Amino acid sequence: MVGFAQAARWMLACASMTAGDVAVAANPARIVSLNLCTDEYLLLTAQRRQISSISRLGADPQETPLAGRARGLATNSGRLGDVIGQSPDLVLTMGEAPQDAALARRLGVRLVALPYPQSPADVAAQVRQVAALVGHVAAGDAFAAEVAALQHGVPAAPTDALMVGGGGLAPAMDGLAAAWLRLAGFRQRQSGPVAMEALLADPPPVLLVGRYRPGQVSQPQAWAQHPALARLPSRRITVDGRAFLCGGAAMPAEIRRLQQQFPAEIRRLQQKFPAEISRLQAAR
Amino acid sequence: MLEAVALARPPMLEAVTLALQPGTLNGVIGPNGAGKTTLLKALAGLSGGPGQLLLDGKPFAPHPRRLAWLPASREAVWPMTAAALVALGLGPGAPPDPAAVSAALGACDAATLAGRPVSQLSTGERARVLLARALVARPGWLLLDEPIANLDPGHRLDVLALLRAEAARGAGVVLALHDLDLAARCDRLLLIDRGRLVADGPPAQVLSSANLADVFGVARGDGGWQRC
Amino acid sequence: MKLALALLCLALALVSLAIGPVDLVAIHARDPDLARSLLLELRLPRAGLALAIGAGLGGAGAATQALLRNPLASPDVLGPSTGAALGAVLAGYFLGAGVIGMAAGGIIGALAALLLLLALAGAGAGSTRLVLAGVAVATLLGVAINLALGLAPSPFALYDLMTWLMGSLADRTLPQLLLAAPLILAGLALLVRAAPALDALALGEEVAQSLGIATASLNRRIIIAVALATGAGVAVAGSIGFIGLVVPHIVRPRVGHRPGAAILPAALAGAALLTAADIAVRLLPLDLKLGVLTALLGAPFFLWLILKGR
Repeated sequence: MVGFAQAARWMLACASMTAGDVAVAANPARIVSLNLCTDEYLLLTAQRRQISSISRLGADPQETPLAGRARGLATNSGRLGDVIGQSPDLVLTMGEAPQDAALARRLGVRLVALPYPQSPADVAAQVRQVAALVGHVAAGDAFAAEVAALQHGVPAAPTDALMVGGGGLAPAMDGLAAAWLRLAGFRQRQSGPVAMEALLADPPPVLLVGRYRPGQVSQPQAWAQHPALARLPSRRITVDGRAFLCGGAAMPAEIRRLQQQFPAEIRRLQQKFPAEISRLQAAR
Repeated sequence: MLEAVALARPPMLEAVTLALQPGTLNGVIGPNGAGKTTLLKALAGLSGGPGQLLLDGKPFAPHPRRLAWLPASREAVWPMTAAALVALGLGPGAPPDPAAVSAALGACDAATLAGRPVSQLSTGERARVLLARALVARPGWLLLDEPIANLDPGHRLDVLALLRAEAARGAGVVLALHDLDLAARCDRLLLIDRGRLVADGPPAQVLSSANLADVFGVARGDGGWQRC
Repeated sequence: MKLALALLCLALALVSLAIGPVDLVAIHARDPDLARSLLLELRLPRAGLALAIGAGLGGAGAATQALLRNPLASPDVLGPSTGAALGAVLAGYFLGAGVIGMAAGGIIGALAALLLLLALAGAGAGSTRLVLAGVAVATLLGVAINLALGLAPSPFALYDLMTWLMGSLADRTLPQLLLAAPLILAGLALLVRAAPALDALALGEEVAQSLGIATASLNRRIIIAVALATGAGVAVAGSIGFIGLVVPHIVRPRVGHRPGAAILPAALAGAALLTAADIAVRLLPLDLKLGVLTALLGAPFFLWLILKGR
C-alpha cells in the first residue's frame, strides 16, 4: 500500500525520461526491447505483431518463464546500435545508459529507459506504463489486479526465512526480492554474504534457494551444494530462479504458487519450529 | 680409449674418425668458428648425430667417473659457495666427500675461495673453481673447452701443469685452446679448420709453417708471431 | 630448519581451525554433533587446503626456479594455472559437472596445458624454449577462458572469472580437500625425488648431462610434477600468486643456495605462509580475497628482488 503513492510519483518521473511524444495517434507497430525485464513486460502486454524483436535472453527458457510466448519472435543482441536497422518506433530498456539515450536522440528514435523497480507496486506501475505505451491498457490493469490480489493471500504472521542466491549472497531485506517474498509470507532475516557456519549454528525455519540453469555449475552456484548444508534442519524450498532475475512480470505466478503450496505447512512451522529443533536434538 | 667412428655433426663438423689414448694431453686448435667446440661436445657425448662414440670399446654413456665436461661458459646463477659448487661435480646422489672437494680446490689454487659465493668471484677465480668441479670425481677423461681463456699467464701455466699431472695419473685430457705456444706442450694436436680435421699428430708436425699460414694466416718469426 | 617450519605449519593450522564466524566451543556445549560437523566439513577443508596448496605452490616454485635456472621464475610461467582454470570453467559451465567434476576438470586442464607445452617446445627442449612456449600456452589459454565465459550466458560468469583470478578458500568442501591433497602430495614427492638432479642442473644443462642426468626426461618429469602440485590447487581455490615466486628466496640461503635442496623447505614454508595469509584474510576487517592479499605482500617483495639484483 505504501508503494502506490510512490509509484504514481515515479510514473511521472518515467514519463519525463521518454524521448518524444507519449500520446501517439496509432499504437506502435515495431517495438523493440533490449533488456530481459522489459522483454517480460512486452510479452505480457503487447500483441505479437507489434513486437519487432526482443533481447535473446527473453526468448531463452533458461532465463525467463515467459520464454514460451516469444517463440517465433526475432531476437536482438541488447544493443541499441544493432536494432536501429529495424526502424523501431519504440525501444524499451531498463537502467541508465547515457550513450544510448544520446544516440536515440540523435537518430530520432523513441527510447524509453525504465528505472529498476524497488517494490511489487513499482513493477505493477511499470507494467501499466508499458501497457499504455503499446496501446493495451487492459493488460496493465489485469496485471496490477493480479498483484493486488496477492495481498489477500498473505498469511497473518510472516515466517522467518532466508533466501540465498549465488555465492551465498542473500538479497537485501529491504529490496525487491524480499518484498515479493513478504507477499508469500516469508520475512527475509538477513542481507548480504551468509557465513555458512553461522547459518548452520542458527538455522532459519525456511531456506529458499533459487533454481537457475541446473545444467550448469559455477563457483557461485556450488555454494548451495556444499555437503555441510545437507544437515541443515531448515525446510528447504526451491523457487524459480528465473523469475527472481528481474523480480518483475514473472513474479506473481511464482508468489501465488508459494502461497498455495505452503500455507498450512508454513503455519505449522511458525508454531512448531523451536520444538522441531529440540526434537531433532533429543533424537540424536 | 676414447674412439670416434665417423663422428659428424653437420653442418658444423664433417665426419671424424680418431682414437684418443688415456694418459695423454691432447689439444684441439683452430680458428674461431672452426668447429672446436662442436668436436669436443661430440666427443663428450653431449650432442646427437651421425657416427659412433665408443669408450673402451663400448658405446659411451655419461657418468661422473667416466668423463667430465667443462664448458667455456663461466656463468654461475646461484650464489652458492665454491665448495658447494665443486661438490656438485661428484654427481647427483653421491655421498659427500669433503676431502675430495678440498683436494680439487687446492690443486686449482682455489683453496682460499672455498667459503666464498661463486657469483662474487672474479672471472679468473670462478674459472679455477669450475675447473676444480671437473676434477673432483677424478674422472677417466677430461674434456675442457678453453679452460685457460680467462686466466693470467701464471695461472695458465699452472693449469697446464695440473692437466699434465692428471694425464700422468692415467686420465685422458682433451682441451680446446687458442694459445699456440701452450698448445706446443701437448702430446698430440688436432687442427680443425672449417669443420674438417686437417691435421692430427705431434705439435711439431701440426704446427708446421704451412699449416700456420694456411689455417691461421700467421707465421712465427724471431720477433714473435706475425701476420702473413 | 625443516623441523622448525613443520612446527610452524602445525601451529598455524591449529590457529586456522580455531578461527571462524561462530564460537565452536559454545556450539559444542549445546550440540556436539553440529560442532563436529562444522569442524570437519568447513574448518578442516579450509585449513587443510591452505597447507596443501601452499606446499604445492612453494615446492613447485622452487623447482621451477631450479629447472629454468632463474630466480625470477614461477609455476605460472609454464601455464598449468591457466589450464586448470579453463578446465574447471568448461567442466562447470558446459558439462554441468558439479563441484568435484569442476576440480577434476581443473586437473585435466593443467595436464592438458602441459601436454600442449611439451608439444610446442619439443621433446628435448632447453629452458629458454620452455619459458617461451609456457608464455604462449598461458596466453592462449587465458584467451580461451575469456571466450568460454563469454559464450556461457550467465550472470555468474563475471563473478566466477574474478574468483578464478583472485583465489579464495572460503566454503571449500571436504571432498575437494580429499581430491586435491593427494595429487599435490604426489607432485611434491616427484619434485623432492628430483632434487639432487636439479641441484646438478645449477652447473648448466651440458654439465648436468655429462654427469649422467637425462635432462630432457628431467624437464618432462618436473613439468608433470609441477602441473600436479599446482593444478589441483588452482582447480579448487583459483589462482593464488606470488607464493611460488617469493618462498624459495626465503629458504634458499638456508640450504647453501642449492636450488634442488630448497624444494622441501620451500614446500613447508609455502604451507605456513598461505595458512598465515588465510588467517589474515579472516581477521582483517577488509573484505580481501586470498590471492589479492598474497599479491599485496608478494609484489613489493618481487620489486625489491629486482632492484637488489641490479
